[in-house]
Amino acid sequence: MEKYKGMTDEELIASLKKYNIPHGPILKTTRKLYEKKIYAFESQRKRMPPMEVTYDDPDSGSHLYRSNRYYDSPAVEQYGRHSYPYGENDSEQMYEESFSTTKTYDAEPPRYRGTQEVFDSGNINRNYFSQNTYQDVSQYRTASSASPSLRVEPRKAIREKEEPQKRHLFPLWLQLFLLLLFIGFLALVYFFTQYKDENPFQILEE
Amino acid sequence: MSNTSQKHRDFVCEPMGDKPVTTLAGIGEVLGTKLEELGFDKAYVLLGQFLILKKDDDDLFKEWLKDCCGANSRQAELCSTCLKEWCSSFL
Repeated sequence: MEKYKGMTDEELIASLKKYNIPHGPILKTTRKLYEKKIYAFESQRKRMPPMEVTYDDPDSGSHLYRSNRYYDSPAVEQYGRHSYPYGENDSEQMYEESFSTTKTYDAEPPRYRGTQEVFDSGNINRNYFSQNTYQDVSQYRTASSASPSLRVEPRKAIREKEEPQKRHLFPLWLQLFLLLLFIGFLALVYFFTQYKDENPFQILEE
Repeated sequence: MSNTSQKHRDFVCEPMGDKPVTTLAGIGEVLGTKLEELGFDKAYVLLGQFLILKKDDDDLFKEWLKDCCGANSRQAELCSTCLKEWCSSFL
């Protein structure tokens, strides 16, 4: 948390852009909020399983992060190990990449799990994004082309409904069996008592 | 919003002028005092903060309100809704 205190506003904005966190101007009253956001984002990223490739995206002036005090955290270490092959034209790409303010930045953005090829060109990167953000319909199309009798594959729900059987604690047959057992027990008790008090006036008659 | 408080409706129905910060929905006496100590004495000062945080885009304003004066989620939600609605009518 303390390391953000030393950052300048420009550095903070650069990292906010890098993480795709929507933000406004950084002022005295808002700075702490954004520091917390970055901290939460970075700590969440560290908790994720180790990535095969740290993302090496060319945007957002990441050279600011090469100052050595950020190397103490493992995530940044991985990040800093990459060479930084991009030149001065990065600033253009920065605006290309960081225009989207996705609101799901804290829900594991898919780009960190991508492979190196995905990040190599910006176009593929964006395609990758769009495929993950929305439901991919193309795979259903290919499925329908495999079976020509079905011309149009019906759209599937994104989240399929859970089977109602999952709601039962026990399987249905066990429930019925227990119910029958209980009924039998009650019937047994009933007949047993009936047999004894067959004639309630027996004593009086005697 | 069908079920809004009287305070919310009172605030939203007219320009805020010089109203104190406590006239906002969700800001009671306790929060109002804390906000005044921080310099947010008028409703328009809080509106300024609200606008700087992009009209509570991505819950920035609510988080800020919770952080700075210890508002709970409900209070923050009320205040944010109130300011958002005011903006949609008067901004």
